[in-house]
Amino acid sequence: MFKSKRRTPMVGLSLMMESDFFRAAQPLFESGEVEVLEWSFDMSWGIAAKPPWVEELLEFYSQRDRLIGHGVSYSLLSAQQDERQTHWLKLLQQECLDYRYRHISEHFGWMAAGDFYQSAPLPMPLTPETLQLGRNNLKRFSDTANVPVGLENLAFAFGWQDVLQQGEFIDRLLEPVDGFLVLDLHNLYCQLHNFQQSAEQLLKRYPLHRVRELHVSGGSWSVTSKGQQTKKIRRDTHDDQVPEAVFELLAIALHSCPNVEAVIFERIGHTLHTEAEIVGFRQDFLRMKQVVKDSASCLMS
Amino acid sequence: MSDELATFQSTLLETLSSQDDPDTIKATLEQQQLSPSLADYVQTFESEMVEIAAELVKKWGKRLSNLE
Repeated sequence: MFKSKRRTPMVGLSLMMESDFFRAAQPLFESGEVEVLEWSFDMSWGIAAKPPWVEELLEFYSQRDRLIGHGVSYSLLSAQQDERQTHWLKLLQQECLDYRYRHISEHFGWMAAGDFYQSAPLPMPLTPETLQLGRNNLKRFSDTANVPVGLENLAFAFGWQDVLQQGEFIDRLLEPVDGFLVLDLHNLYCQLHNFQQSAEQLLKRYPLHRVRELHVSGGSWSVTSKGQQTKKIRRDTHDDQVPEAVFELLAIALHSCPNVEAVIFERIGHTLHTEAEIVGFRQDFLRMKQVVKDSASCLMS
Repeated sequence: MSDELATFQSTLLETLSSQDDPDTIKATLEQQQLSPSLADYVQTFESEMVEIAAELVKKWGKRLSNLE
């Protein structure tokens, strides 16, 4: 599955259901700039109906084999064995009948336990038990999806151990299903900043040969304080422009990952109201596309 | 072991959702009967990140009991 054969990756958007997202992205769709579409399908399972324009875009990209799935709420490393995950997989099965997905990914980590059926994606330590738990749940995911499956690296880490283990943990989870890595570059940037790592050091810890998809996004800053000490924390909020450092990481990743098929730009809805925000969104997308094009030219030459 | 992991995860979310102070959150977790690997894991938690996690769980946490 992972033969080194360089092709120019497709460049696309993560589809949001909010109308401001559609207004901002519409010219990009109409001009054919969006070569591939990513859809977080489980975000629509709880609503009565998707907006018609969302349905149309999903059909359009699905029919052309340019639709990729990205689940949010499976909660791979949840230890509680209950109906929640089984129900999620049943809905995924139906989703795969409704649309044709090239591949489907989920997030490393967990977000459901006890009374909580959803929260924020959190890490777990790599132990024989957590590895077996994750492999079992990934196998069920893979069997249901019936297309290549992958996992995305998390931005959040409780401490150094999470940062240093995540690459190996993901690699060992993916091994039995020959899965792929969705390398989220802003998530990587969060850990580079929050734990003062170099990109080179941290990237070396990930199975770069497994990277089939890259995510590019912006985020925000938080300041935490304890006594007189304050610390600036990078947050993965997808609500602002792409930082320069993430564009630099994109160029590095394209050079280091021989099997990238898709590069996806993520920006959440309800954050694209002003003219400056809309223009910034389009500029970020087109710049991302240019970085991919330049990288492909460089590698081919 | 999966029971212990499930209990740890549930306790972690309950604690993050109900407490703000990172030291209190860590102390609550340390009082649980954790396996050596989970006890060691909690020792690696950085206060700033626990504070962020508590904020995230309060913001995004959804409870089954609120659905009933």
